[in-house]
Amino acid sequence: MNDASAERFERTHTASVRTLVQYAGASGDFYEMHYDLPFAQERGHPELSVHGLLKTAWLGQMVDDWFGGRGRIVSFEVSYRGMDFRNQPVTCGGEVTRRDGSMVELALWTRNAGGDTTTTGAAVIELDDP
Amino acid sequence: MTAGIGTSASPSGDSPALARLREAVGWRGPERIDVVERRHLADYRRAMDLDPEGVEVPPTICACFLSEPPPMPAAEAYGLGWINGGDRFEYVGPRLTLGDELRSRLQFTAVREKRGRSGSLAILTFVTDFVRPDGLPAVRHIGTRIRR
Repeated sequence: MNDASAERFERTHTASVRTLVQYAGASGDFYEMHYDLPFAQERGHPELSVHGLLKTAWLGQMVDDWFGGRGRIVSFEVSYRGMDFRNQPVTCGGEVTRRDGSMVELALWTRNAGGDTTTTGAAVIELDDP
Repeated sequence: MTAGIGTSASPSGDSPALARLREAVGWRGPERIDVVERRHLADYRRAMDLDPEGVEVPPTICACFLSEPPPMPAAEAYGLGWINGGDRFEYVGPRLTLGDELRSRLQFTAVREKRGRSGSLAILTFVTDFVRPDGLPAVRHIGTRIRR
């Protein structure tokens, strides 16, 4: 990765409770569902959930690394289809869906350990030198 | 019906909690001024599994300058809690770098209710424009947040 030529790319992250607390501190999102297990369970969730915007941060960084500073992100969006939970691997992926001159469109996703898609998304990139 | 939602419908058929949300469309949070600071950047990068010493600003840094969950009083009356439905970032100007200052203000722009077998939920849209001190836009964030 890092040259915008790869057509498909993936990487995996796993968030521990430490990660979730670090993210809460950095982002200011201290919603208890991400670090208070009884709070999460009272709301019907089996475990502490990974912040949606942390998954988005991983996806955004993956896209950023893909074009390696040789362009810019025009837009980037995600839709959360399912929750991911602490200590479970989250696979972030991207695939080129269209190239038109300097403009590239990507499809993005995250998948949980069971292979279920938990996030879908898309990005539009303008490359400096297509 | 999800707990926390009122049971007396308004003339429009909306529950009181949904009616309150509809009335709140246009609500704006307090203005914020945030700076991309070195220590904050290190904390954010660390949480993302990046080298905290790095100075490159991740494209989603503005997520740190959102008020999450949205501090809108009308939302608390509907459902038990928040779920994040989605996020969109639109990049307008030059990439953010260390030291950049941004002004922003959260705005509640829309609500719709969805009813399913497991109850009702309200889908809320919030828009935040991040603007540089000289007034030039930098990033627009559109957040879909769910009360259930």
